[in-house]
Amino acid sequence: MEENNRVIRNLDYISLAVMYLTSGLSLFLIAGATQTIAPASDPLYFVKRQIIWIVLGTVAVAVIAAIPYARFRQLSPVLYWGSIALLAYVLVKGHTTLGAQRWINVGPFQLQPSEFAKIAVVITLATHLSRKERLDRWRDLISPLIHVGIPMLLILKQPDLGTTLVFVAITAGMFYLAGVPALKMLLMFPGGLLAMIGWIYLHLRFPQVWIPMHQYQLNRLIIFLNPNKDPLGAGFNVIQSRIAVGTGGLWGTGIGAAHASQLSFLPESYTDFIFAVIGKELGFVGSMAILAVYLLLIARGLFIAVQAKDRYGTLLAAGVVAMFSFHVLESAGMASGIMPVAGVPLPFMSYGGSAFLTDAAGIGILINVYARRKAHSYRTAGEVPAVLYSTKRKVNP
Amino acid sequence: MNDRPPLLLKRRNFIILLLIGLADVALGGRLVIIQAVQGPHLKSLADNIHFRSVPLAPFRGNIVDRRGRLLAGSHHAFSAYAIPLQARPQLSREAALLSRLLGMPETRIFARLGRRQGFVWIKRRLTGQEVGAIRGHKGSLPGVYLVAETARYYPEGSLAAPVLGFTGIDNQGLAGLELVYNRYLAGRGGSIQEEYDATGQVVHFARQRVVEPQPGDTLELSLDEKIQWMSELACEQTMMATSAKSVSIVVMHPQTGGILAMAQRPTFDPNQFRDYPPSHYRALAVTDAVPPGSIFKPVTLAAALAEGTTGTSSRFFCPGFMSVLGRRVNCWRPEGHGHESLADVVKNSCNVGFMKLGLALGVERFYRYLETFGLTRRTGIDLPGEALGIFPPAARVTLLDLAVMAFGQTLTVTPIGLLTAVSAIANGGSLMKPHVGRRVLSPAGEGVRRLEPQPIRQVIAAPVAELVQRMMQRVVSSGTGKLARVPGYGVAGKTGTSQKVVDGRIAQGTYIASFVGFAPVPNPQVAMLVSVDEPQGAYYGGQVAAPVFGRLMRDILRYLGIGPTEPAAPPGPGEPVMVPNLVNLNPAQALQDAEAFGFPVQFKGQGDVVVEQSIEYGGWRPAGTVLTLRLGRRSRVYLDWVSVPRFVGLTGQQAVSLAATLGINVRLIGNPRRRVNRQALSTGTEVRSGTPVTVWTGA
Repeated sequence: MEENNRVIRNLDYISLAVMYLTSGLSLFLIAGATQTIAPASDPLYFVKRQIIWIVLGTVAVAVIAAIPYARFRQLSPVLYWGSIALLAYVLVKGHTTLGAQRWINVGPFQLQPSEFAKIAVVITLATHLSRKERLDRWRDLISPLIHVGIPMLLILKQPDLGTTLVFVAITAGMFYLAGVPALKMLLMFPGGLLAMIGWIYLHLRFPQVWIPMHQYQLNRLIIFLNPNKDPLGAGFNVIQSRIAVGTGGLWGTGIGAAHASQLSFLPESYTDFIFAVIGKELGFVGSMAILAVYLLLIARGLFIAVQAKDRYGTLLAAGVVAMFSFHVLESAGMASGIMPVAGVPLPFMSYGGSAFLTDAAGIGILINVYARRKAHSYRTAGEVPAVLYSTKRKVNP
Repeated sequence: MNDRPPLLLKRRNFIILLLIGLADVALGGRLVIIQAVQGPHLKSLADNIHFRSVPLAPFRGNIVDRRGRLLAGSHHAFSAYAIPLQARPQLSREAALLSRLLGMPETRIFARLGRRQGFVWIKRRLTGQEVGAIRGHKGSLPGVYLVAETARYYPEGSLAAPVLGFTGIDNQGLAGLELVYNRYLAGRGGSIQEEYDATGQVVHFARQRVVEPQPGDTLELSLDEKIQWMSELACEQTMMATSAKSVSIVVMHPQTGGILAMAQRPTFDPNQFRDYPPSHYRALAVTDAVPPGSIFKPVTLAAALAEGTTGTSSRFFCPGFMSVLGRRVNCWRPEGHGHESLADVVKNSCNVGFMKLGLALGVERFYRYLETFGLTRRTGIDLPGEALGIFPPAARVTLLDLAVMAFGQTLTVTPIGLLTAVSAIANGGSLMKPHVGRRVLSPAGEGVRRLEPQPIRQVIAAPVAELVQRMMQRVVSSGTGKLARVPGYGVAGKTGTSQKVVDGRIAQGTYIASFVGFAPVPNPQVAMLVSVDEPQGAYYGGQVAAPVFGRLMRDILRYLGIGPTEPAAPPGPGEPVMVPNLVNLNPAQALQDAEAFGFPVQFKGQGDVVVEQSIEYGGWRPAGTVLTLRLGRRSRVYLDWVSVPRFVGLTGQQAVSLAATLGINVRLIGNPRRRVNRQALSTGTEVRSGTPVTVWTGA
């Protein structure tokens, strides 16, 4: 009870406001974008379902914020092995859509375990890292990488490149704020990216070089470089998205404007490509405003990470920030054509329950950490202090 | 230990925020590029994708003759198109059904319906039956629609076909005037543009843009439909009489250069042009340059007179040949023409005389006159594919070449080029640019553009032209062109018989018989060239082409209402006279006409109209020969033209039987027992036989 009061007293209104502002606005966009695919008897079918997700998301925020995050440590093994079990189950028995096994049916809904796995990884990796004494040697990084690697490979197998990359982003963000030395960070993440690019290049150049990617994923990368190569096939989405954004102009065509039907040319316009709808209906000004709102959320998340009373809180907030950042940048980037296509939702705006609940859980974590931030007069004994290893300090074992 | 967040955390937070902020800026920059820079292009791209355009064909402008009679028109036709997205669900069933209804291969329809396009044609210009079939199966043909298009039709069939040309499936001019004046005739196409979504459904309450088609302008020609018909008929008769390879007749108004008629055999029907070999599409008088032969002589004569190298008093002697550069060139008459005046040389078409004229002129002056008369260039007539005559280059011309060219061999000219040159002689020396198009009228009938007659230059002085005219007149009155005579009119002309040149060699035994001339002299109103290619049997221009010219000229002069220019001296007995046409006249008129030509008549049978004459029109007989005329009730169709009688007042049945005897098709509306109270064409209108005339009887 006292915990709840503390949450209410120290509620982080900013992240909550961002969540409700963006999700409220998304209802109008979804209404327009689903005009032609909604059942004729219920043109607001998708909107109604999204409202249900907003309500359930609110519950998720409340539940996650209410549990003192210190107790997440005890839940970590359950969360970790539970999500791995779900991901394994999806691979075996999951519902196949658009060539990928990502969903499991739960009553009238389909759940996407890979979405929940994002939160699970944020929490469990925070637990794992917070127990590490040192992170400045390569050998210190082996166990965290294995920790993330198992669920990540299961998701890559579905295949779901977008979510896999979210995992990479979460890992990078958390490692960075956990104090992994800058050189190692550069070698692991930008270096890893370059290695991947080199591998793909070699594969395209010499087809006998094996690569753990599906042809459609490779196609997306090729199309990202030249969408007009196959305008009716693999490049269709990229071109249609660009056209939709391009017709928006400075102020956009207005929400749900008369020829929203044109969005029917853009598949997934109400889910992963919702940023194209924003570009079209709200124009440049609207798109930039929404990006600013997300930037506010990210800045707030970073502020909360700094304000956290302990290292565990910092890492939790860092993971959430990394997740949001990647969601926003990839989703907006692919709709405007500066990122390759990978299925990633725009937080709170893309239609879809699993994604909404995941992002809501992220907000819940931020609120949780913020509410229990360190106070000058308040300090709990027994917590590991939020000590960061300096990259400058050489520690010899 | 440390209450305040460590410095490193703060710094790393700042770096993260900076990186994400930079990424946002990059995104913003990208949006500027897409939305501001590429925006207009992407928007038009979007409209192309989101709008489906069903073309609305414009009405192609009519082509009418100089009196506004329709030569080419447009009517509505239905075409079937499909929206493949809507047809896709039942693709193979629909393809099978359409193949049955339209008689097209199923695979072709299947392929068309399967295209990734917003719009595909299935079949253009459906027949009424096909339209009915598609309408009847509308329910089972989702995604298949009909649209009204326009189709070209030529109400007079093959009349002037090589001149008019024809159009393709999209109503674009492909040949003849249809091609040359396409930009006036075509009009501007419109469209209905419907917004549709990715599933191919028309968006409800969506934008629909209708771009109205703009009908094309009307083209008025200098052609006269009736003169054209007379010429066509003359061509047809000549083809039958001579079994020639081709016959070509061009009639020109010498004062303006306007073409009154251009007829030829073989020809084609532009309504079904695909059924004819493409060689028939060419207007031979324009596209083929041929050795002109003696009809070229007026040009040499005019040049010699204009340069003063000869005169009316010049004397010539023709021994039947002439030696030039050691080569013996024969006159057409082996025994020679003896002593001649210049007028005799022309009258006799004496080659020796003309060789002398040419040699006296010399190469330089001869070529100068070729150029002045417009024979070295294209005339610029508004018909496609005009040929250019071939001349040996002036620098390499030998005296032999010059001598032979002076009577129209070695060189080639197009008939239209030569007629244009002769017209310049006929109109007093002014070379006019020949033309067929006369005026462009708006669809409402107002003049938009006048294609003015264009004088090119004065080629010879009027007195010289008159001198040449008089000498050419003697060719007809007493020379080689006697059969071109038109009683009562002064006719000037020149016969021509040229040897065809095949692969650079004179082809023995193949001739072009031709006649060029004009009437009435003085002040000629009609110039005409008749060219018969490879006639069988008689091949001299004076035998083959001159009579065609004479008959046709007589009909044209009468049609134009030009009164006789000279007293038709009643011919003395025994003098050869051309038999007039008496068919279709009532007995009194026939008697009067025949007597004017010096032929007594004898009637046979009962009736109020002459149906047959014992000696065909155009034959030459000594005056005093008795003509036997058969009378009948049934008016014979003369030149395919009949006069609409007065049907009003007759019963429906009577009207039908009267029309049958006249060769008119009557469409009776109402009770055949009642009297006709209205007829679609007024009494006295001249129509082609077979023309449908609607009559109405009282209810």
